[in-house]
Amino acid sequence: MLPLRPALLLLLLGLTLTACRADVQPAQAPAAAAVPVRADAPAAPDLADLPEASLYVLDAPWTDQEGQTVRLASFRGRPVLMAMIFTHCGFACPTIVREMKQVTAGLSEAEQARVRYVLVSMDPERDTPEVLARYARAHGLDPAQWTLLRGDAQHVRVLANLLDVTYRREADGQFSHANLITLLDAEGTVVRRQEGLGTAPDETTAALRTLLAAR
Amino acid sequence: MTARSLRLLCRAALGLLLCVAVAAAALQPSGTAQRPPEGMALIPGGRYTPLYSSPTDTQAVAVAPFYLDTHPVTNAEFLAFVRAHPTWRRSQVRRLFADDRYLQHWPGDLDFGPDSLGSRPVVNVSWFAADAYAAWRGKRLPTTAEWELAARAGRRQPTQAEDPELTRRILDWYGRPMPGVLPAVGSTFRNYWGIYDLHGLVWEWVLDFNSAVVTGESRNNTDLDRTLFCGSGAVGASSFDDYAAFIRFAFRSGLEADYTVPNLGFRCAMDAPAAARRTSSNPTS
Repeated sequence: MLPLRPALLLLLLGLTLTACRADVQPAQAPAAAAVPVRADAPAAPDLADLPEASLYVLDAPWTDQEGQTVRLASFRGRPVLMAMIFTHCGFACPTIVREMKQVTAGLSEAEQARVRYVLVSMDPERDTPEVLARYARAHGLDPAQWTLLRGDAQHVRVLANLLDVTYRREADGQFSHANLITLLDAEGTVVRRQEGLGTAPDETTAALRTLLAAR
Repeated sequence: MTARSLRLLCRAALGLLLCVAVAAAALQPSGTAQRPPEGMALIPGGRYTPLYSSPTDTQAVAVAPFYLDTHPVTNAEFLAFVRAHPTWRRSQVRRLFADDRYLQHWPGDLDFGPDSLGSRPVVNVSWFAADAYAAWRGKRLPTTAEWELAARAGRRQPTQAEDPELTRRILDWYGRPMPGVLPAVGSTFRNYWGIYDLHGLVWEWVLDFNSAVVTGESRNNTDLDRTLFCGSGAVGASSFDDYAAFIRFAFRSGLEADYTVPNLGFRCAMDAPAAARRTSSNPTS
């Protein structure tokens, strides 16, 4: 004699399985735009008075070669030489670094001490803080003046668009990219773009000297 | 076996069958059960061969399934955005994020003109503005690969190969001067995936437009200015067969993120969950 209950239990089981199927979310949480959408929310106090053209209005969190969180606004107060690189770059990026040093080579020690250098990686996947630190050591980049930054892909994209650096990740993980050194003033405004490798640094040096003399 | 126990056995069997059927329906992935967000359609995954790629990288790029807006963003929709975010209004936007022709076709900060213009594609918006709008909507800009994959579709087929008349019409559009007033969204053809206006209305921003690194005027790679670009010394065009795609590539290469252009608009995209992947044939190159 078979009781009815097992049939009902089986029915319940079936219904439970229906309920347990996870409701599919229509989409993953999208990456937030790094450009301030909700910028009408009270701006961070140190950004509210930035000049019109300052890049430091990009209030994205970056990580430096020591694993510290860094915002671009923290570079306010000194002129900055900035470039986008990736550590697996065999030739062009080491040349960029060398040429950034050449810009300041002719300055006095006192002048040199007031300049900051910022390298932003276009390869956040591979350029972890540890990798960046190793790179800095290999190229003799004193952390007192050189900051190597890693950020999420969208922030890298936005910064590249602000600097007007074109870049593309190839299937083999290498990057095709423009070679550019940008001179920013103490408020993060672009003063001069030095394009290409092998460009004589003289004009950039002169522009930098003017910035240093102004303070 | 008694009649009673036979009846109960049948009842149990029916119950079991019912449960199995219900469970099977519940656990089976069903494309129709996961509807795209409103105003968007699913583009199944596929492979896309970038126009310019390095010789070491001749494979097509895999594109995961994604949702794409069926229409470009309109003046009315963009108005809602700048209402909500005053820093993106024409009189307030930072010059860093949009040049001085931003929304120049609007009579005012919060006025796109007569009501009939509400359904036209918004133009004169920079990449930064388009990106911010997309984030406000919980979406993002489509990548070049995604956009081109969607745009490959014909009217009734996943590719335009069977529709040479369409290919001609697309090229014709590139040759025509821009109309004084842009037509409303949805006024050009609806493609196989249910997407309108990928051709014949406005150019559109993509997320990674700045990866369209043009390698120089000459086709001969040895003439490249190698010092300006790292890596691009090795890239070359994969195919000039799709001339319209080449035109779009060239157009994107000339853009900068703060540019606003009277016939450059955009639409949004979103990642789609893996379960939405259709098992039916995807377009292949």
